[in-house]
Amino acid sequence: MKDSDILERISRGDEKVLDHLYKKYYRMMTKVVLSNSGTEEEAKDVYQEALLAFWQKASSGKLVLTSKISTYLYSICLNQWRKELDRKSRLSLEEVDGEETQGHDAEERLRIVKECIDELGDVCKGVLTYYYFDGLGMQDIAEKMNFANTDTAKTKKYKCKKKLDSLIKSKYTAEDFF
Amino acid sequence: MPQENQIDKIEQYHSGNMSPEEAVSFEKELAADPSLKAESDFQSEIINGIKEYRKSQLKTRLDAIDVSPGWFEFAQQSTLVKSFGGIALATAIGSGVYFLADTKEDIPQPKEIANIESISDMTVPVYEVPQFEWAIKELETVETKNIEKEQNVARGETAAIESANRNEAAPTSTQTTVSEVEEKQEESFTPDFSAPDAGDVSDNSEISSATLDEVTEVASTKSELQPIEVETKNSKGSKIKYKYYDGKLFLNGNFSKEPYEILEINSANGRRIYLLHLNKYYEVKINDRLSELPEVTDIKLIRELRLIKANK
Repeated sequence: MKDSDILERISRGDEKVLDHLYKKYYRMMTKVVLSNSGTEEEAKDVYQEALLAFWQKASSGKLVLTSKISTYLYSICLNQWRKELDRKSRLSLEEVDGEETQGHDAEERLRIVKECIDELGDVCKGVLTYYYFDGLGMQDIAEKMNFANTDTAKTKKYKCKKKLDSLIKSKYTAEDFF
Repeated sequence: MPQENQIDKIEQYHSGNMSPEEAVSFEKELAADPSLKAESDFQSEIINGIKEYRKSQLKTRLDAIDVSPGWFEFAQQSTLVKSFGGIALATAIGSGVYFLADTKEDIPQPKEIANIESISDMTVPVYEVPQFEWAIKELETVETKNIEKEQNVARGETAAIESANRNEAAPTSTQTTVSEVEEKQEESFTPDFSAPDAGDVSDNSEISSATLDEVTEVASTKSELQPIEVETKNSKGSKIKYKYYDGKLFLNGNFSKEPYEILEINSANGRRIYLLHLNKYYEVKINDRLSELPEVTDIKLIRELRLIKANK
C-alpha cells in the first residue's frame, strides 16, 4: 500500500489501516526505545502513543506529510522517548508529592467522564469519539455508522453530547465537583 | 448559563477549529465572564475525556494484534535457534517459475537455482515469507527455474508449499537442497536495522531522515512479483477460511495432517492465486473479511491447475 493510499483510507476512518501500520512498523519503531534502555512494555507504549497521534492528525485531515509515514512515526517515537527519559531523570532528582495530590481531583473527574461515556449506547459512543478524537466529518461519520445522511449524523452528535453533558453534570454534583 | 452560540464557540475552541485571531478574542471573553469560563472548563474536561476514552479503545485494539516475530525474523535474532538449525520453527522451501517469453522489460531473467525434483521428496516442506517487507531486497532471491511450456504465452508461475504447523517443532531436515535454500534466504533477507537505529538518544538531537528514507525505499521498490505473505492458523473445522488483501493471505483451516500448497499464476492480466488442499483446488480472491474459501468447480480450470502443478 502506498503512503497516499494509507492517508486516504485513514481520512475515512478505516481502522484496518491502523492495524496494518501497527504490525508493519512494530519492530522498527520499538527498537528506538529498546536500544535506548527502555523495556518492551515502554517501547510498546511509546509506539502506540506515536501511532495514535499520527492517526488522529491524519484522520482529521490536519496532517501535511512532507516525509514518509515511517520517518514521521520514527521521529514521534524518538521525541516521545526522549521526553520520557527526561521525565524519569527529573523524577529521580526531586520528590513531587505536591504535584500528585493536585492531580488527584482532575483524575477523579476524568474517571467520572469515562464512566459516563461507558453508560452511553454504542451509537453515541461511536459518533462522539469519531467526532472529537478522530476528527471525522459528518459525511464520514454517517458512512461509518450507516446513517441515512449527514443530517442524521449531526442530530445524533448533538443529542448524544447533550445526554453526556447532563450525565456528567449530575455525577459531578453528586460528588461535589461543582 | 452561557448562550447556545457561546457553547458552539466553546466547542470550536476546544476542538482546535478556531483561527488564532478568533481564539484570542474568545480568550478575552472567557477572562471577562466567569460563568462562561466555568462552562468552558467543563467542556474541556468532557472533550478530553472522550479523547482519552477513544484512545484506550484503540489501544485495546492494537494490543490484540499479534506482533510476535515470524519464525524467520526470530531465527535471525536468536543465535540459539541458529545453532539448533534443525529445531527451527519451520523449514523453508520455495520454488518459482517465471516464463517470460515476450517481455523485454527489466524483469530479471529467470535463472536456475534450485533442483525442483527434490521438492517432491520432502515430507514437511514449508515456505514461509518473512514478515519484514523492507528486508527483502531483490526478487532474485526467489528460486526460479525455466521450464518449457507448450503455449508461447508470456506468463510466470510460482508455487509455494507451506506446512500447516509452523508452531510445532519442525522436522529435522537433512535434505541438502533445503539447507542450501535456507542459507540463501538468510543471506539475502537480512534486514538492515542499522539505518533506523536511534543510537544514543541523548547524543542524537537530529533524526537522520535521509538514512531512514533509504531503508524504507527498499520496501517500496520491491517487485510486484514477490510471493504473497501467508499466515496460517490451525483449526479443527473441515472448512478453510481466509482473508486476502494487500498481498497478505491469512488462512484458517485444518492443515495438521495434510499441508496445503499455493499456486500463484502471474500473467499479463495480473495475478491469480489458487490453493490446493486434500486434492481440492480453491480460488483465493481479494477479500478483507474472514470467509469460506470457494472451491474451484470448473473442470477445465482444474485440469489447467493440475497441469501447472505437475510442471512446476
